[in-house]
Amino acid sequence: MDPINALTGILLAPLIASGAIVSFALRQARVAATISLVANAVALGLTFWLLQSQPLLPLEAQWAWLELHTFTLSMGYYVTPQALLMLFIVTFLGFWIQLFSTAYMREDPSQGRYFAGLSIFLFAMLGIVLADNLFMMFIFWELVGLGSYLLIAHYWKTEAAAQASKKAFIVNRIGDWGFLLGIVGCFWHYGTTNIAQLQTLLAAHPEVLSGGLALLLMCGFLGKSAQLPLQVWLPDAMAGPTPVSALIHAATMVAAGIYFLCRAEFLFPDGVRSYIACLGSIMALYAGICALTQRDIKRVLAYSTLSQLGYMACVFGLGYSGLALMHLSTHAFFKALLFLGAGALIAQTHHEQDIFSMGGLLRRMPFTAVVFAVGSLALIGAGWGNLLISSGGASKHLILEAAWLQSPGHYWTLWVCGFITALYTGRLFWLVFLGEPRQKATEHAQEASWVMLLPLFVLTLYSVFVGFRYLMPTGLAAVFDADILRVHADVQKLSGPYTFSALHILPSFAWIAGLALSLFFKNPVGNRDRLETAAPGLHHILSVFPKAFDTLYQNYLVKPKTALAYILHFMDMLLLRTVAMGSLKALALVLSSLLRRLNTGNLRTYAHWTLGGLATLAALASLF
Amino acid sequence: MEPYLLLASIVGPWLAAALLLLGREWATGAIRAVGLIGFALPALIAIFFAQQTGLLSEGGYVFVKSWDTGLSQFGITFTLGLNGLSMPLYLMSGIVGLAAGLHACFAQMQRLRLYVCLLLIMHGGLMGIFCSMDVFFFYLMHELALITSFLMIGIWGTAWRRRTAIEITVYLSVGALLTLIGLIALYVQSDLETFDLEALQMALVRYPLTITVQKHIFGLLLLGMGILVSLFPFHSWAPRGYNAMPTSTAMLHAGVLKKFGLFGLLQIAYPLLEQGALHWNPWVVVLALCNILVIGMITVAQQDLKLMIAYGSVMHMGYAFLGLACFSLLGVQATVLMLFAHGLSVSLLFLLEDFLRRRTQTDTFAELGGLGPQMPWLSACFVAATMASIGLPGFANFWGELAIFTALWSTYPWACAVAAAGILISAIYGLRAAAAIFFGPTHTSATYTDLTPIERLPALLLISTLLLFGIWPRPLGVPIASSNKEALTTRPQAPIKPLKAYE
Repeated sequence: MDPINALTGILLAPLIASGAIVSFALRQARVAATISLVANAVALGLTFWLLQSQPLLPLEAQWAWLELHTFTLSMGYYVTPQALLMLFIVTFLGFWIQLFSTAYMREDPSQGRYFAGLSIFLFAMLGIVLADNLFMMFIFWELVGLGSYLLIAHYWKTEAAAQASKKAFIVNRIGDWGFLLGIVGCFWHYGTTNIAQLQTLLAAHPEVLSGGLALLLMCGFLGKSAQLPLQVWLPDAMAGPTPVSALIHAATMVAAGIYFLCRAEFLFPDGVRSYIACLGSIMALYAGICALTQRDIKRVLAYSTLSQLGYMACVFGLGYSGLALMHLSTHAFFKALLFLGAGALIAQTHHEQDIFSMGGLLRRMPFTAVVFAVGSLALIGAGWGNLLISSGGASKHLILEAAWLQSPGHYWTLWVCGFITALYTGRLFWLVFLGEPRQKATEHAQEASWVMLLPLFVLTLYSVFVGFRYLMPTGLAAVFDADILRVHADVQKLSGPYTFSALHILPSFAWIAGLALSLFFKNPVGNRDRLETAAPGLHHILSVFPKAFDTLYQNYLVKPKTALAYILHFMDMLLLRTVAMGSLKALALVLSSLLRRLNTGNLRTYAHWTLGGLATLAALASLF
Repeated sequence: MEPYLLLASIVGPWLAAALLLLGREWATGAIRAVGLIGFALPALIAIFFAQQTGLLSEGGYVFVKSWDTGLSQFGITFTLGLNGLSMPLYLMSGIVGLAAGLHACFAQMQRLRLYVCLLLIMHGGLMGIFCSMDVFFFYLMHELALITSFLMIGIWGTAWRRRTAIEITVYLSVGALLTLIGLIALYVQSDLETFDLEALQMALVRYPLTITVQKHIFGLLLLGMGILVSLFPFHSWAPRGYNAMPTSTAMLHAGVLKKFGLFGLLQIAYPLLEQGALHWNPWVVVLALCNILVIGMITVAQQDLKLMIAYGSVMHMGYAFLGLACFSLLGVQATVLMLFAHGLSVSLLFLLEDFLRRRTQTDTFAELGGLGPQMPWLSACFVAATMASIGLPGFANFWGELAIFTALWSTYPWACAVAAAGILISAIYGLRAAAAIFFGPTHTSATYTDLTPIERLPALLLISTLLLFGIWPRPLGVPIASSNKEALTTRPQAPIKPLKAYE
């Protein structure tokens, strides 16, 4: 089989599935789920085949899609090792998450809609992965936004889902505004938006690299990956079903921003990169602080996603796109695991999402507890120096090393982040699994069915360092290896007591201390956070953080926008309509008064006018 | 053969209308049958022509034929033909006409026979606009459709119909009159004694008029056609007018008739009066940006769905003007793409609004909410229509907006940055409407029925056309790309040239 045909198969299978579901199976839940799952399995199988056959990279193909005078937009594939990595992550996670969904959504009457949405999303996401030019990437960029919108709005009878879906789309559009301008700018400035051609061009003529365009392109990343200042949509997006949060709002779509940065890294000059690095580490810190006071299990995880995306952005900005992709990969697996674990908990506790209502689930759902623990350790970045336990530990350790090499400021920010991550993750774990159940529904919780547990088990394997390293299809690790070797070599040169303690003792200290300190939260008083009872002032300050941006935007953007809209509407009605209609009326009055003067009722006057008119006509006719 | 098909697409609806005028009593079924034949004929013919894009790739007009109407001594002949620019709009007109006809025939209107009859007359005129090669008939067809629409507001109008009918009649007649004066001035000044568009183009590109004359005529045409297309600040007729129109008329008016002004600007004013256009171009850009930003913001303030759709359609006209103002062939092509998609999507929105209001008796957002689960078909169609009108990829509108932004960047990058903010504004009001009507908890205990199969038909027709060209835009690109190059490629170069580092 031609690899290009395989790629087309991978891309189109989910699209065909969603078309089939919408046409025939919207009301038949099982059929819809099967179609969607089979399509995903086909995509996954083809991906494995592609990895197996080890085609000569990069693979390229192009078709002209719209030809106008000086502008041809084409669709095409450009498969690099990075794209293969993403292809594997998306189809692999997609498959297990869809399998999980069949059980999670069992009771839901609108499963058809759900699976059609998931398939549309997968199609769009694969399109981003394969896109060979920026215009095509933008098209699929918007389409993943559509998938996300439809799936956040899945429980559309609730106000939260209605508002959150709208918010996600609109905030993303702010980013897309800049992204689109950046792409159009690239087209005219560089003469092409083809990624491979851009790379060749910029390698030959580095002087034409434009920082302004890079800033515009960065907006797309800020929106999709929910980075400062456009992060406000992601926590609200948790209104969607939990498997959606796992697939779209943790593992793949939000990572698309990072993937774009890495794929088009040559478009970003150093100035813009260091800006992205700063934004990233601030985001990592800010989101970590926000996670500390959340009560909703999904929101804790959502803020942790924001924080981890901050890590990726930071290390990209420091010049290590391989490490950004490595953290993207490890994060995709362990965050999907955590979200699916949370989904299992939510499903088994009758849709309870408040961690203060859970508790004591270790005994009732031991398997889930163990896999959740593995996921949590990966999120925390558990490891001891070079002894890597969790997959997240490996990638975070490398990120800290890279930060230490490039900029101490980032190193220390991320170090504090590591501490906070352990703090809120520990808090989450103790509250959910230890102690006694704090609610009836929790008391009767039981282990979920194997359809849910199997995906959890598979993802657990990938969240352990050994599993991540050796279960990944061969060849994919090459994406990270260059950067890993580079970091190791540079660190070797620096060896000394400072470096040793910074890279081996301090990071381990951060997560162990954080985890130990988080035991403080273990036994809440009733239904309230222990911090709230022990130090209300501190708790209050911390709980301002998550709301800060929403309040700010509400007061200084949304309200003025609405006011401006009303003022303009009023002025439009008052001035333009009145003036326009008034002047028309005046004109009509003047004309009618003139005409009325003609209507004298005097036969002789009429006769004069008639003669005059005839004479004029005759004169005109003679001219021709 | 083909020219007669063009003629049939105009005369067919008129014959059907004439048939409906005969006799005293008509069964509803018979009215529907005759009406549907009258509406389906142009649509089928348009689809037939749309498949023959190969012929258009030669450039220039095809399927040309003239009929003498006894006015040849004034240089007026009834000439029909299509070129790459008019082809997409001709197709759009046929499809929107069929959708509006399907709606009209099953709309439970009072005096259905007259309603269908007038709509058929209007539709014949609309088909005529896009295949007339004679400026006089081009204008005449427009007047015919316009006057019919006035009559329909007066008879079946909804809100404040009397006053609105008079207002819109006066306002648009002023626009049409100014256009007419401009066209006559062009005729007189060109001194060719012909209204034939091709002859005018050939001659005026080679021997342009003096700059002063061009400035004046272009100004007149811009003002007149600007009023007809609701260019800011001459838009105030549009929202109230559409609000008052019966739905089938609004679909045809907003979807097709309004495109006359822009089509006139891009076929006549811009190519024939290049210097005049250059003189007025800054005005066009600024006013078009006002259309997008100011009217976009006003749209956000609307509380009723129909008014929101009406303002939204005014807003999107800003893009079309910007495409023209780019002064490039790419910009012109982008405008045609945009007009094609906009015609389909705005008529779809008006159609769905009518289905909604027939059920709920209101279209005020505050009184609606959570209707989605009760009306899955209507809500799915509405979300699709909203996504189309806010330019989501996968729908034809996306290509128009994208091409306009691309064209605009090379001429006025700053205007491109401002105009692109429109994608945000339209998302704000479009999604707000979808959420306010179909999402969230329900306010009322009333139950409503979903779309009936016959109601789904026009909606699906429009949505599938939008999707078809949204997914596979190439057929639209080819005829447009081959459009009258000779007239347009003599344009001045764009101020910013792409950096061709490759060369």
